[in-house]
Amino acid sequence: MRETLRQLLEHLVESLVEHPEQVRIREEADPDEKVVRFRVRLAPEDVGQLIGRQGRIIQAVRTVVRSAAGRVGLRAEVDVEE
Amino acid sequence: MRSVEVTAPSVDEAVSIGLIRLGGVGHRHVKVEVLEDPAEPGSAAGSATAGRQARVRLTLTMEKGLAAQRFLSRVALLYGCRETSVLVVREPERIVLQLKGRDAGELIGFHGQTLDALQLLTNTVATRASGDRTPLVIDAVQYRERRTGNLRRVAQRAAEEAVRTGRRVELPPMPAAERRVVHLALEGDGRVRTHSEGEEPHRFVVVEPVEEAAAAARSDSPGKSGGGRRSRRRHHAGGDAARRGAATGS
Repeated sequence: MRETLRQLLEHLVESLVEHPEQVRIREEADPDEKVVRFRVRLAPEDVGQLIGRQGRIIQAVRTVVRSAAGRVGLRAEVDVEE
Repeated sequence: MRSVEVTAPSVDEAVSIGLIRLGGVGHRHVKVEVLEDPAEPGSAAGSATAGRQARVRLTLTMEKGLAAQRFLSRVALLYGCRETSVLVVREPERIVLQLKGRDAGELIGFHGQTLDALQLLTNTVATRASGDRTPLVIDAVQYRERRTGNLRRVAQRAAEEAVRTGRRVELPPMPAAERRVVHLALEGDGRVRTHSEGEEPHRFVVVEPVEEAAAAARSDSPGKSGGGRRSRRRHHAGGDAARRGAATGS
């Protein structure tokens, strides 16, 4: 389940940036086992593009991933490393 | 439009790498420019450095509906929707993608939030892949259609109330596209005027009777400074208006 969520996030992020081959997604441990915490690392010049104006793009990415997580009883957090 | 530049020992190799980098698209969806070709003598003259490399630029030129369909189908699959397909309907001024099938409704989310997010992302991806700015709308099991009908009824009721009470009516916060439906629904109603207030994502439509403005101007009385004197009413339409605006003094 977590692996599918990671793949979903990966698909969204890779489709949105200029350098998909540099996208790295790491899952971080969280004390709460119902929480999936993803950290996204990308080419520095892609960070702004993924975040978008007023954070609209990254918010939309979060909405989709959270809603997918919700279907299977999980909570997902997505952070972008800057 | 999205493009990549690739350097490799030969042009063919560079093109193959480029196609993968652009998300595994086919040859027919890209425009290829050869910037440097080691097989061609005399190109980039003088750069006789050992092991000259080929350099190509690939630019995506995919049709927008197709790019959107590819992106969205994979999202639906990874989202866990079974038996869900994406239908592309090309209208003169917009492209509509309809999610159909057993689990398609799950992509709507609370108040269409997930659908709106998918629409923004799909638009961004497909515009970049095609260079085409035609607006793209995503619908699932006719949600938007039904929602538009509901919004028109909500707008009508708000207008009736505003006229009856002589006071402004505030609708619940909604996304820009839905506020637009409300504005348009009441555009032809001479008894009321509409505008939006508040900051995204809590921006909402206000329906005011036209008389109110006139009456306020006539009786230029106290209460003008405070603004708090004028009672504000909230119109519960979807039910999520409850938390908004503690400042309006309930």
